[in-house]
Formats: sequence, C-alpha cells, structure tokens
Amino acid sequence: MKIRWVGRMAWRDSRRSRKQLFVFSLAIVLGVAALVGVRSFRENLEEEVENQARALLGADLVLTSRQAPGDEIEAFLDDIEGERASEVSFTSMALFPGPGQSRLVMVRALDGDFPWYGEIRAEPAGARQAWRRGEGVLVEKSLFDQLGLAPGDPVRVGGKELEVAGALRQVPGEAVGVGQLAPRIFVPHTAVADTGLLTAGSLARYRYYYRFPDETAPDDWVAENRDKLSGLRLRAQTVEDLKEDLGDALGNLARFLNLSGLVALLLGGVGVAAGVYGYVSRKRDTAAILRCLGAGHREIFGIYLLQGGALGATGAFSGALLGIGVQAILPRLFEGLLPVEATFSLSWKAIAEGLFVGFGLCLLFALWPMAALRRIPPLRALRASVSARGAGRDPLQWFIAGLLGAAVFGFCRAQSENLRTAGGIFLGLAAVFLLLAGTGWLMLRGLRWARPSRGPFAWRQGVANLYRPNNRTVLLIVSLGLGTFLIGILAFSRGMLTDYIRFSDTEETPNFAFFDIQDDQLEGVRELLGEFDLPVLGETPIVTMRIESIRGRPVSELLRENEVPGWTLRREYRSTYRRELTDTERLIEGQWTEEAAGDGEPVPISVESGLAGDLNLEVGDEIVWDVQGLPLRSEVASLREVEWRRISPNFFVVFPAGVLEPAPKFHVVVTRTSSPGETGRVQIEAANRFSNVSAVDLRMLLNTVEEVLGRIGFVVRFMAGFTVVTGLLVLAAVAATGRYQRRREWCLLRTLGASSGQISGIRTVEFLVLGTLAATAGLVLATAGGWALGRFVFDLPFAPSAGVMFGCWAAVAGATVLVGWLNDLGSGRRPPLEVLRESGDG
Amino acid sequence: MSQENSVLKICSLSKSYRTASRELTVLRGIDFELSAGGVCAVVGPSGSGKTTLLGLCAGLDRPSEGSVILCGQVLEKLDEDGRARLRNREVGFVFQNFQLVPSLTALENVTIPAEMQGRLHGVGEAGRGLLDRVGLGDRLDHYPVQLSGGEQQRVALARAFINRPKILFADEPTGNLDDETSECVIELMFSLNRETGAAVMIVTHDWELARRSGRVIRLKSGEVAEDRRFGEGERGDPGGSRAMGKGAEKSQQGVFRL
Repeated sequence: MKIRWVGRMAWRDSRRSRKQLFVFSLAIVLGVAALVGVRSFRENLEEEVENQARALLGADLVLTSRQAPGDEIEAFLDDIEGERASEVSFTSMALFPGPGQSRLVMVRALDGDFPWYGEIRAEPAGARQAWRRGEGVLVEKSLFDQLGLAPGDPVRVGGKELEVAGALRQVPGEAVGVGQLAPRIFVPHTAVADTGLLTAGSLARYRYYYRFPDETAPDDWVAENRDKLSGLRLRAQTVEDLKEDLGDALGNLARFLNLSGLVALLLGGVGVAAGVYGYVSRKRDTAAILRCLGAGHREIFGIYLLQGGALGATGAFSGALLGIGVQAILPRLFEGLLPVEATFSLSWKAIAEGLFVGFGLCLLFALWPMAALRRIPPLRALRASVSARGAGRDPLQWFIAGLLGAAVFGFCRAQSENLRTAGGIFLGLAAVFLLLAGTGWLMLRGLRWARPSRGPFAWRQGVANLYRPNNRTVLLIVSLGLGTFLIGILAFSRGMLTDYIRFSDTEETPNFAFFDIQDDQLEGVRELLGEFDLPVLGETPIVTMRIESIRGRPVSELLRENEVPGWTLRREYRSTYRRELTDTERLIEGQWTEEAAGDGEPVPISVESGLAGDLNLEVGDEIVWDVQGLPLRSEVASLREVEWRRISPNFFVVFPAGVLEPAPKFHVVVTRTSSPGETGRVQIEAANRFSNVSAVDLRMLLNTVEEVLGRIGFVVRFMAGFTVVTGLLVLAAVAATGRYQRRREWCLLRTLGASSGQISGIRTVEFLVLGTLAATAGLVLATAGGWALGRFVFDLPFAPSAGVMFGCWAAVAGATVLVGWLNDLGSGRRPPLEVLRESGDG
Repeated sequence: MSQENSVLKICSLSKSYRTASRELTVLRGIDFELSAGGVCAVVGPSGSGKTTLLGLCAGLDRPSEGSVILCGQVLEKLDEDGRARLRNREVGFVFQNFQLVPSLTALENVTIPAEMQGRLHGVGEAGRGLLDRVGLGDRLDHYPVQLSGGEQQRVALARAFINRPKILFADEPTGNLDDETSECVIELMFSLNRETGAAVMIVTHDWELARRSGRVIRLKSGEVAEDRRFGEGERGDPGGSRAMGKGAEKSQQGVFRL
C-alpha cells in the first residue's frame, strides 16, 4: 500500500468535509469527557485515601461496641498495649435556648487524645482547645449556621446546660453528610454523667481508639485477637479495613458514574456511525473513480480509515480536554458526601484511558459504514447504478460489528463486579436501544399511515420529510429519546417519592415523635400532649436485647465462622410486643401469635423477612435472647414483610403480649402537630420536663431526607445531562449529513416558487415532529420504567405526572427545532443555483 | 496483427447477469483486437452492450466467458488489486460525466494516477504541462464545481495521459458536451493519441466521432454486427456530419451500412 499517497489523499479528500467530520466527532466528546472526568476524580480520591489513610481513621485501631463496657471488656481493653482514647455517643435532644429551638442530635463525648493522625477541625480559632479543656461544646457547622449560634451561647443536653465553644467542621474519616440526619455535638466527656442521659439500657455506641507502638502491626493484632473480639462483640477497624471499605464505596460510585458516561459514549458512537453513513454514501463515486484509476481496495480503505482515525482522535482529544473540566466540577457536586477532600490534579492514566476508549469506539463506529467503500466496484464510475459487489454485508463489517460488541461488553465488564452483572448491563443497554428503536419505528410507520392528505403545504411536506430515504429518523428518535427516557424516569421517580411523602402527610399520619420515654414518664408525656390538645396516635414499648444463640450455636461461634453478616449478630435489637400486626406489616409465612402461653415453652416471635434472610432463619428455628442480662428462649413463629419507608415505629422482631411487659423498657409516643411553630413549643416544653426524652419533628427529618435525595438526584441528573446533550449533538451530526439533500429540495421548491415562509415552515414542522416523536418514545419507555420501579422497587402506585411529560416534550422538541435551525442557518437566503452547484459529493 | 503489437485482445467474450427470473446475456462471443496507437469506436443502440464491453476491456468487471488480454496481461488471471495496478500503469479513462474527484483541484485530479504509483518528484510539473496542453494552465487550483463541463472533460483528458498509458478508454466522452466543446475535446484526444502513441477505444453515439476514429465496431443485441475500417478519405468532414447531432443515433446505423 502506498502509505504516503493514502495519507495525502485522505487529507485532500476531507478538504470540503472537515467541518462536517468535526461535527460528527463532537458526538463522542461528552461521553469521553464523562469517562475522563469520572476516572480522574476516582484516581484523585483514591490517591487522597492512600495519602490520608491514617488521618482518615485518626488512630491505628478502632474498636466499636454497642454495649457499655463490663469488667470483661474493660480488662481486655486495658491489656491492649498502646495509647488509648474512648468515646461514647448517643442520640438525644439538644435545646438551644437562644434561638428557642431543640434538635435531635448525636451527642459524642471523647476522652483522650484522639485523633493522633489528622485533626478535628473547628472554628473559630480556639474553639477546639476550649472543648478539649472541657469548657464548651462543638456543634456541627450546618446546625451552628442554621440556628445562628455564636460562641458562648447556651445549649442544654439532657439535664446539663453547657456553652457553645464553636462550630465543628471535620472529624477524621467522617463525611459531613453523615451529620445531616442527626447533627454531631461534641461535649466534654466529663459532662456526660451530668446529662443523666446514659443509663442502663440506653442506646449508646462505645468506641475505643488506640495508637500502637511502632512495632505493632494493627492488622496482625486484629488477626491474633479475632476470637476474643468476636466473643466480646467488638468490631475492629484498622487503616487497611477503612481503605478497603472506602475503595469499595468509591468503586461503586465510579462504576455508576462511568456507566452514564458509557451510555453517552455509545449514543455518540451511534451518532458517528449515522453521520459517517451519510458521508460515505456521498463518497461512493470518489471511491469508484479512484478504483478506476488504479487504487486497490486496501488503499481505498486506508484513506477512510485515516479519516475515521482523525475523527476519533479529534473527538477523543476534545472529550479528554472537556473531561478535565468535568473532573473539576465533580468534587463540588459531591461536597460533603465524601469522607475525603478531593484535590484537583491531572490523571494521565485517566486521560489515556479516555482517549483510548473514545478513540477506539469512535473509530469502530466510523469504520462500520466506511468499510462499505472497500467494496465499491470501479464499474460504478461508468454506471452510477452499480452498487457494492456480493450479497449481504462485507465480512469486514461483521468483524467490526463483532469487535464493537466485544469492546462494549469489555467496558461493561470493567465496570461490573462479575460477569453476570456485566451481561445484565450489556443486555439492558441493548434492550433500551432496541425498545426505543422499535417504538420509533412503529411511530414512524403510524405517521406514514396516517399522513396528512390535507392541511397546509408546509405541514404535509415537513411530515413527509421524516420518512424520506436516508433521513435516519429512527436513529434520531433513539438518540434523543434515550436522553428523554433518562430525564423522564428520574423525574418520575422523584415525583413518586415526594408524592408518597406528601400523601403520608395526612391528618391521620404522625409527624412528631417522642423517643426514650421511661415507664414512669409515659403518663407525663400523655399529659403534656393533652395540655397542647394533641392526640396520642400511637404508643409503642421498646425492649433492648441481643442475640445469644441461634439454633443452639452461640453468637461468638457464628461470628467466627462468618456465615452471616456481623451486624446482625452484634447489634442491639430494639424489639416490641403487641397483639396485632400494624398496617405497615404483612405476614408472609408462619403463624402470628397474639399472646404467649407462658408455659415455659420458647416464646413464639415474628421476624422481619429481610433479617431472617440475612440470618438464614426459618420458621421453627430457636433464638435465645439476652434481655438485659436475662436469657429468653424464643422460636421463630412467623416471618413478616415490613414497609420500612413508612414513618412509623417498625421492628425487626416482634414478641407476643405477655412476656416482655416486666422487662426494663422505654416507649415511643407519636402524635401530630398542626404547624412547625407548635412543634417547636412542644419540643421546648418536653425538653424542660423530660431531659432524656427526644422529641423529634418528623417533618424536618423528611425535609432532610428530601434534601439528601435532591443532592444525589442532582448528581444523577448532571450525568444524565451528558446523554441528553449527546443526543442533540447526534442530531447535529445527522442533520449535517442531510443538509445537502435538504438544501437541494429547498432550492427545487424555491425554483418552483415556494416562499421563504413556506421553507421555514417545512423545516420547523420536520424538526418539531421529530422532537415530538423522540420525546414520545422516551416518555413511553420512561413511563414503563417508572411503573416497573413503582411496582417492583418502591412498591408505590405510579401515576405519570402531566407536568413532567409536558416539560420533557417541550425541552426536547424545542432543543430539536433549535439544533435543526442552527444547522441550516443561512441556507434559505442563498440563490438556488449557487446551492445546486455546491451540493455534489463533499 | 502480431501479438506483440496488440494492446487489447478480446476472445469469445460473453457477459451474462442473473436476474430474478432468468439469465440475461448482455454480450455474446465478442472477438476483436486493437493494436498499439490504434483507434476504434464502439457504436450501437442503447442497451446493445457498449459500456459493458468497455468495462470488461478495462478490467472494471469480470466476463462470464472468454478472455481479455490487456497490455499482454490476461485479466482473468489477475485479482481485483492486480487489475487496478494494471489500469494505473497502462490505462487512461475518460468518462461521459467527467468523474473528477470533487474535493481535489484540477491539478490534483490530474496528478492522482501518478501519485498512486508513489511518484512525487516532477509530477506537479507533468500535471501543469498537461493542463497547459489542454488549455487550462490558468485553472490549476480550481475545483470541479468551478469549471464548466468542457473544462472538466479536458481535466479528465489530462488525467488520462499523466501516466503515458498504452490505451485510453473513453466512454461517451462528448455525451454531456455541446458541439463546439465536443470538437475541441475530440481534437485534443486525437492529438494526444498521436503524440503519445496510446491506443484509444471510444464508446459513443456520436457518428462523427466514430467515423474519425478509423475503425468502427457496431454492436447489436450484444454481438458484433459489423467491424469496419475506414480509409483516410472515408473519415469525412467534421463540420458536415456534426450537424446531424448526437441525437441522430437511429440514422447512424444506416450510414454505417453504406
């Protein structure tokens, strides 16, 4: 092959089409940008995790327990060589007399010099030192700002009044986001006892931090003490564990974001293929002439391979540049949701990977149609009617298609944990593409069947243009419809969840709850509600307990053998007892028992089906509970399905009446207030009368949940936006290939006397109907997807919102018309002959 | 005619196409030979197989039966790329619709076949010389859309001779041109034929052009109906017969029977 000639010819041949080829290459830019941005972001985070690993944990080892340290634990902890710090944390109400508000907070009391690596950050200067000296409280920054607090303001936690020292900004290893549901408050450890909140049976978490001498390897220590730790129900975490956990979390996040990049890239690739197909159809004559003049099929293929390569390289390179910008934006989107602060540094590996994937996929997508030129017979130079030799597709095209499939599957595999997931993603993507294409095709057939025989000329001509040969209407419906589908399904899901919350906010549903009510306080809480004229909508007793053994096997043994998730065995269960099922529960197996027989037989209990799955429990299995020191034999009598999303007290384990009544317990009482103002007044009064009782405004919790959902939703929408804009770029690419054909038609119509108003009308109708078809196809799929999500994931009734549908249609159709107009800008004003002379092979 | 002197030899050439219902024979048992520097015109009514014959002779298509020996090479023994190389080295083309590459300038169009051979030095000069020879020395950088039909055909003619071919195949070279421009192109073609010694095979409906070529092969229903050579005196007066115009195909046959 004459490489120099091929190169020169590829350059010359592209002379009049470079702008068009550049437009094609734009279709992959956003896909590559997403891949580069996400990968770089991940690399930076991983590097930060590596660099800050010790500072993330703040210690060499952290032991966590859900029970107050007994003698055995104390002895074990004392024996551990190294420096130690302890922390106790629990949720409680905090009353801020200044602004006159109270909030559910996570109270944390730290004793010792933790953290040894990294630091707890607070503001203003000196606040941390004041807290360390036991002179004040650090309040989570978001709450500090929200309540307009200032150093020196009072805060009451339980029975103890303290002084605010400053705002808490960061704790090693913790994302700011974790403080959102229950903002953190660091109190001096000496003040905990005075709050009176920590009594037997209190729900508290105990943490023990250690700094080991240099010669002790934390992971080796954990391995040596695994049995003891299991026996004492202590969970150990080292820097390596943390890195692994963070790595998994970041990996999952990156995989999700990468998938949206892949969708945008694939869509762009399809756009490239469509654009190049139109380009190639105009290059057939050139290929035939060159064949006639003596070029071999390798040279012909070489010319277009080079052009395809340049196309891919331009798209990939532009995408990589844009990706660097995306990388700069992503940390802002995730602000506060990540445990490490992402810094910005170029990741050459990510850029190289983006360039390789983008270039490779773009080249393959471009070569698929370009390969057809290889088989253009030279005889075509004599007879324009002669087409490619042989029946069916060129084997090279099948080979390229196979490579493309393998490359996409390979990418899916790289983004998935196993082959099955990769296959699922691959098939899912294929299904979405096929469903959209099928819907588009059916609609186009329907439109053709019902084509308007009357009405304005512009309308009839505009609609007829959609099924003009080589118009790629179905492809455009797929590319624009995919973006509509993603945006639509996100909007539907969000709408479904917020509707559900709104639906829950009725007169009968509680919006205010009192937690941790002791037996002797129950009557007082009822009286308080009476004084404010509030109804008691529910009272639930709660008994704390732990699992001692299952089917005769002690927990320590089960923990050692690692057969079931550790949390299910270590946790402290908050169980209740009652005679009937609530409306958030459904019995799915076994027999519900209203009241225990009290004959010494195991107590028949009901277990939540998910937990039963985790613990491998079946109806008839025996569980021995440790109810605050006393063993209690029980038998799984039934399995329940629980609707956890509903705001009402839900339980993993429910006992029948007649067993747990004498046990130490606390109560939850729920009511409904008419306004946030009333809630605030009740909260303050409750804090004054019952310092240990948490009075939680459920509406505020819902708002917080909504806010978190909104932020996550924004990240998802941001990535889905890549697909939408790619769809428009694909439209631009395909419209560019059809431009000459459209211009010729307009010239013909102009020559026959059509006014510029009619030409504009035809153009507008064509793109408006195209946008409408695409939006409809996307919304049909989004509606089906929304229904499936509602039915199988959220378990909610689905009613598509007319507002969402109209919004999607208006956005997609409007953008389509705009892109169509921009593409043909100025064509209508040029003299017909000038256009006709230019409209050859280009 | 000796074998050494022959640039094109056609033996028992047939071409059939399979259609949905039957086999359609376009050419049947064609034999003829063209010597170096010789000129022949292939005439016949539409559908008689003229263009098919030209395509087979130039190796643009494969015959169903028979053999084509072009410049000493048996085309059936060459693969696609082998035939392409042979065309590049030994063959020039002129088409009815000019077939210039629209993205290349006039000069670039002319130099393509030479550049394809890997030649770079002197190619530009040769191209410029040829364009000068066809009267387009001042239009080197013009693109096909900026040239008239006659000018495009002259560029195509210059391109056909850039590699000093042994044979030129011309498919209706004046088919898209007016009489005056046609005359100019024909003059150029014949003078280049004389200057370079390249044989010329012309497919045409134009009687005037056919008669001036000195040898006329008339096809009818895919067979050679007549293979006639004209003497110097019989080649006629260009001005008189051109008045018949290119649309006078039906009457041409009568003239050939003279």
